[in-house]
Amino acid sequence: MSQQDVWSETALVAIAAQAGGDMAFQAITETVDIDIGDKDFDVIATLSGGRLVKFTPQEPTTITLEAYPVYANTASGTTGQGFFGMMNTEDATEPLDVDVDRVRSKHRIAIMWTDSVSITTANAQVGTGTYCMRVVASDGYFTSVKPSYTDGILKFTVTYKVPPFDSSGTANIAIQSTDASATLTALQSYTVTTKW
Amino acid sequence: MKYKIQNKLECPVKVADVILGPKEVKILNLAVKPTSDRLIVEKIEELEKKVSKGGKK
Repeated sequence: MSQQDVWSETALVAIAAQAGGDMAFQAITETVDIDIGDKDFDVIATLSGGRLVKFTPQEPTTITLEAYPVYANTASGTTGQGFFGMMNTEDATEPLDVDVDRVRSKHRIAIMWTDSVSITTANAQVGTGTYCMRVVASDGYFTSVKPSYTDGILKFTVTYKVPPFDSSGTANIAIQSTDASATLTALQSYTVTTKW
Repeated sequence: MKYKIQNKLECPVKVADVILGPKEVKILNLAVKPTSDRLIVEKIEELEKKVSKGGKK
């Protein structure tokens, strides 16, 4: 295939709990908004008329999904079916019953655009001859799951928030791409020690 | 039926009103065997059979 002018129409979304498998959410997701944290700075005006730059630590990144799940959470499997279990304790057995609690669980989210029609998961390997761009964020938390039924359809606005670094200063966010000349390897399983 | 159930995840999981912590193992008495891939489930009777087979050798 030839190089893309733009990425449009389709994208892949994968979400994994720590030590859990990736779940594909693109089938129920309509929009993705990735607000990469600003690396801002302040300016100090000196008496000479000059300016000193004071860097501000990078802000957290926020990823917002608009989605149409029909269940409370994903009890099993690799197809994402719900979001409440990501913000609370997930229920693994039917009937699902997600109670609000004080649990905060780390999750990884991967969003990928590719010209391949055979790749169906955002965490997959992208071989040579195929173009893609992928955003991966690990060790973040789902901070908001808001259902809305004002337009006659149950739509969820889901917010995932991640600091740019973990407590050791290791990156929590990666942006990857390939121009078809090299293979972009698959994301490794998300664990306590492996982010992607 | 009694099942030995282990949570595979690094976050809590609820199994029929019982919450398993990260990687926690519990023995639960359940009417239906859980099938979620978030869990490692073994029937206690099967475990007992394995133990007794091992004993004969």
